[in-house]
Amino acid sequence: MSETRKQFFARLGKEHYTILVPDMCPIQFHILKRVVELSGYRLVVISPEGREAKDVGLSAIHNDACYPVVILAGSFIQELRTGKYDLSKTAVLISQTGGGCRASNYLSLFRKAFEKEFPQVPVLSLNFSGLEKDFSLPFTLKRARMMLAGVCYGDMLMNLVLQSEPYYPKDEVDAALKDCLDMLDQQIGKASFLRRKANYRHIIERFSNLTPPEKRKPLVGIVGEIYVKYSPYANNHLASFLVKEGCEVVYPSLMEFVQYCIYNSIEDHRRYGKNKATIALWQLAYRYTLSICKEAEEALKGTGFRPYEDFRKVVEAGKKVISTGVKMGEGWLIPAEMVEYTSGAVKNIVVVQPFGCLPNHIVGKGMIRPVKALNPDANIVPIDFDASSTSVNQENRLKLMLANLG
Amino acid sequence: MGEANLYLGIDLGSTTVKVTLLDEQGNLLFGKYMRHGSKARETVLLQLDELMKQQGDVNVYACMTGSSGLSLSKRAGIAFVQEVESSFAAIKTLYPDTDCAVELGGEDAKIIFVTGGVEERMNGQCAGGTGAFIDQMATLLSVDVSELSKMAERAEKAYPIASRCGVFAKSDIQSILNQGASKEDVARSIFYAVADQTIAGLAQGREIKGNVLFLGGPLHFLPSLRDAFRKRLNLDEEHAFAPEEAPLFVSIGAARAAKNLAKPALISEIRRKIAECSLADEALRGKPLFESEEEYDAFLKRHRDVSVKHRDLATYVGKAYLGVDEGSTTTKLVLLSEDNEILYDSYQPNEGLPLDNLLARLKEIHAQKNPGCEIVASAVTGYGEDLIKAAFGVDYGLVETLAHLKAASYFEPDVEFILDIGGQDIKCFRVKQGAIDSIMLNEACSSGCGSFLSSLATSLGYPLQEFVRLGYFGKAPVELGSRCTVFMNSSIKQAQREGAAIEDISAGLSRSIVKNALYKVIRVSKAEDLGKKIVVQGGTFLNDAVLRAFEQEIGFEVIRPSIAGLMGAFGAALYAKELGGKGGLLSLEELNQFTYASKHITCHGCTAHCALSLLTFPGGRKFLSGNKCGKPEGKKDTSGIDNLFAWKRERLSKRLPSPEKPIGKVGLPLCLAMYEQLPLWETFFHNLGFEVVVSPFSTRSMYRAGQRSIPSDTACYPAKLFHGHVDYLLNQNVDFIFYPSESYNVNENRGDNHFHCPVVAYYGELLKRNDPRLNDENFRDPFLMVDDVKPSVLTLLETLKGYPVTKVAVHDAYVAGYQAMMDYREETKKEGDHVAKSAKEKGKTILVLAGRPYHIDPEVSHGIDQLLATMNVAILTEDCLRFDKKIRPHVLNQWTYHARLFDAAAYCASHEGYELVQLVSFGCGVDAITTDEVRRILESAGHLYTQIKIDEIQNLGAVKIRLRSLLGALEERRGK
Repeated sequence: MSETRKQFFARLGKEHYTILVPDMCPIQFHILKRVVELSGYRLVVISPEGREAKDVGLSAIHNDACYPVVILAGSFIQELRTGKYDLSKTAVLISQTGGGCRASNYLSLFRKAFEKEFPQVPVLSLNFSGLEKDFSLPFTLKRARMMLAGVCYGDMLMNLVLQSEPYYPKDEVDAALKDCLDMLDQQIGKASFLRRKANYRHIIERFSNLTPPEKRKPLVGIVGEIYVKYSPYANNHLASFLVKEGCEVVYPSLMEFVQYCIYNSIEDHRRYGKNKATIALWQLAYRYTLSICKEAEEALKGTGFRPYEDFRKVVEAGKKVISTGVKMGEGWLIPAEMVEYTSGAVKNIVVVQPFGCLPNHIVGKGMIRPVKALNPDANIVPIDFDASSTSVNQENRLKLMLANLG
Repeated sequence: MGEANLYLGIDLGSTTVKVTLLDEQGNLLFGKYMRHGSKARETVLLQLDELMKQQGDVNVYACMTGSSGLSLSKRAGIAFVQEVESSFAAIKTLYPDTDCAVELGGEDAKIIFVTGGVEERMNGQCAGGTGAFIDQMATLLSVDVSELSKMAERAEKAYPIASRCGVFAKSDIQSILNQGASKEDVARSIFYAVADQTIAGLAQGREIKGNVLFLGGPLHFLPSLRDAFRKRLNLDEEHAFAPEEAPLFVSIGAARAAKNLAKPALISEIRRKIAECSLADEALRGKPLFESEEEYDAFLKRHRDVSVKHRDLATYVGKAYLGVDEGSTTTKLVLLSEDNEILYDSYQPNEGLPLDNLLARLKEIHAQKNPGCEIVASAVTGYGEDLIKAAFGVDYGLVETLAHLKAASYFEPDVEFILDIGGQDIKCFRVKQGAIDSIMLNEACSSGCGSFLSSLATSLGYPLQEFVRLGYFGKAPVELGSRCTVFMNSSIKQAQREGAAIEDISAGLSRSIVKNALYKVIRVSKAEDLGKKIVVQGGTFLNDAVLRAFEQEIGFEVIRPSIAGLMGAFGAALYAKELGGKGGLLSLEELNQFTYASKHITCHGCTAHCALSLLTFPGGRKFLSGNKCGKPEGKKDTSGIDNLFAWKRERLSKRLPSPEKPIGKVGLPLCLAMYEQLPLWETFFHNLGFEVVVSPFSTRSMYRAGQRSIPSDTACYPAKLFHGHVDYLLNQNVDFIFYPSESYNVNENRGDNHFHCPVVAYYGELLKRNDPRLNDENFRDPFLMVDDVKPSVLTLLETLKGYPVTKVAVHDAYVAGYQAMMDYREETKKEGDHVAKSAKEKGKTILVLAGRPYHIDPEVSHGIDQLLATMNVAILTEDCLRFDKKIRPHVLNQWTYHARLFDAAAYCASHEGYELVQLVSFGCGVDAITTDEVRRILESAGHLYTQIKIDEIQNLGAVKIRLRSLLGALEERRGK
């Protein structure tokens, strides 16, 4: 890329680039898409179906690379091949955490995969660690606040949907979700979008006739590698499967992962004296996210809906089994969530990971034993996902977990 | 509906159907066990008919179970219970004093702990294929499974076989067979491998003791398998046995569970539901191999043209040249005339007895040939090259790659790419200007794709040719994935359950094999990259379906010689002809007297304790195999000369003297990052006054000692060995074991960041929580950034709380330790300079055996360095090179060890006389990224790239071929 970053992004904005983004958390991403589009780009959240994207991915990416990168590359290529896009004005955006997990290399793997067929399509990075300076989407503080608010709204909606869908007809839940998303869409770009308390109130109000009964179905938590955990395409619609099997699914919030990333930056400073220049910013961000999460928790009080656990409590739960120094991939967060869930009402857990995921040897499968030692009634099943594995194999293991529901 | 007092259990497993009818008291009124082939539903219906014939159409509570029962029950609207739960229900009523049950099925392995906290465990996907694995192994040895069990009873010994998964074990077995091991011993080794896999993978530290129940078909029908489990668990027949109901056990459990789950119904009603439900067809389908008969005919005609002339052996008079290709599963022979006509050829499975097989063929040639025909020269290639050469006095041996290139060039002088899919291996070579330019061989995971086709055909009850032919006109071939045969097998089972036609499975499998070769082995991104002139060969390509699938996948036509399965032998014969007569081959008379005896010995030449096989032939000729150096052959041991691996090992074996009055005893595990940081920590603790115990280099027995506490079987072998080191150190009564957790490695300023990989960084956290003997006191893994002294000292002071050390002392010891590590790094570089200089003087090839510091562990790299040293190669490591320029790789360069790899590749690319071989541990996710990049750096500078995947597999057979191919190709290049 010979042009400067400024020139590139100026062109990106002016020429109405279409940016493809992966489907990870359908609800949260719906809102975030609108926020990013305020900058003038058009975002398309791709949501692949069927096996084909996986096969395309297998032929484009080293098969020993992780499953998320295989299916993401496959879905992007499949989407680009549809002919729907002016390839000279299309880009692909993925997030990059810059950690010690190989996921940080998705970007280069994508570039390699696109090299031959779509050399003109740039792969952009969404990161906060200063990687890929030339290809990172620029952010203002205001935009960042909107993004975080978007994550919070999305998390709140995901939480309400998860808690109502086992007990109410699908169309009623869908309608409530749609109304809330429409309401938020209308506020994009307006000052009211940041009036979180009011928006929370509206959302909860809309869901008030979908309040779950006191006597809940068995609660099953889904934790693990972030993409496989959330993306229904990647995890063969795990959440829907569990709901069909008579469970209520519990997901950690997306914000929790954001907080985990922020927390690690602070830890790096504390442990190794890193991030000297930015530490104040990280601390500010940490306090800010805690406060906006608190608002959501307050708003849910007395509504019959269960709020997300306070992040600080999750951190403390994790410390019982693992050091917070374990920060690659989802790191200590996975065992922390497992401890936090099984110490409370969520005794059943599916811990998902891409086949051969490196950090999850340690933080996933490696931590089941101590979590069970801490809470002997914990019912945990690890499930590997891979483009070549069969759904029956996974389903059968899930069934074993379901047979022992606590 | 009415009342019922009968209970029906239907267990639909991956390979068998079990139907049971119980009465109120639990008496068995009906019980049947049957293999279902690919017809699961039909078999169930058949059994229900029989049941009705016997018992009449009565009201029952019915419940299904089993992996195949899952989707069928859903569709038919019949109650379902997970199979482990079924077993559990049956155990509780039938054998209430059971402590633990081990159940092996066709695809799954399960352990149920009943007492001391109920726990039910199933294998992960990777270890899949237990019953199916035994089936495959039996096919490999051309016996049925019960014969396999009988053979094992007659065995004298067992070989260590990688037990991680079926594919891995198969690789090991294949080479053991080729070294002349007896089938009986191999049979026993197979059962031991299954037992080891189940115990290690599932028990995960929980002891299997008390009354143990063996469940499932394989354990019931195969006494040797039960024996293997008893031996490994130290249990006797009284406490560990298979109940007589074992095969039906799970269906009995399902019948027991039926009362709570189902409503009463007539058997005929249940039968109707099963018969009428629609089968799920969720499998993705591809396009057919051939759209029409015409298309097929045209295809056949095109390929028929590429052939070699044959000539009658009985009438030919003149010189003849013999080529032998002793492959992993087959023996191939070609006898050529002076005019390159084929006088005799043979392609036969060696059935695990390569010598007997070849002996018979040679005798046959003598019997058929004209007295005026003289075999003047002979050559052999393939896995069994050394063995055959020694046994039959064959004149020449040549590397497979060269043999194939010779053969392929005969058909297409301008050949650009050769792809060979044999039974066990997939080999590809790119050819530039008549010389091999790059070689790609499959790693363990892709092994056995070819022979999988035949073992699947056999297990489905079809001869191979017919099975493949069925696929030609499959309307919608099933997609079966391409990761490995274990995964494919599981996909096939799923497709069968969903009612896929055998035609579609056959075609789908052919396509999967091709995809595995293209996307996993060759790593092609665009078909054009292969070049336009492609020769495909190997026994597997004789199947038109595979050939067709390949042409479809790459989108253009290729050349497949009619003798595709004989190309290695053909090339060897051409080679023998080129080099001319030596006449070493045994005469008819000698052949008639040919016998051999085999003996097994353990070498005590060094700590590796290799298991050797010694074959003795008439005239005192001997053949030794299994050794990794020249020592047992009486040769001078040269494996340590010009070998930086050996130097490092020696250097790291030197210990500092113990202090007189130690203030404590610390254990340092020689694993992962410790391989580089040992000087740091040994010095540090020594200077503080500790007695330091360092665990020795890893061995297989250490691995076994720690195997029980491994929670994730797919982690890399170097990490899994760590468990054994912990065990060793605990037995040394150390106060605590020390292995720091380091997210960051030393910053060498060579990349974007300086991380460790997650496994190296945090494996200590895993160990501490998974070995029940460890706690925060006796296992200390502080989080450090080693090149930052101040925070490190503070953290270490905290770590050593309770010991009489001061901050100043910790600081000084740390600084001294850090210096010791830097000194060691510099010494390594100096020794590297020295080896390079010495190699240049001797004219040796300099090979950088690049990987990670811990790859020097003899159990991790299995003596690859020693093997290379005996091939007259000087060995350097990636960290001894003096990098002279900075490169920017095309990937995110943020791990210190990996940055060295890229730099080492760049160094070799720009320095005359350096070559690089990359060692990759199986399961190393980060190397999925580095390998492509290292390859790119080397190949863009015109160098050959060779990657060797290492794991538990001890056998160096395939590695040897790979290295010899590389050295052969280098030599050939230099010659040109």
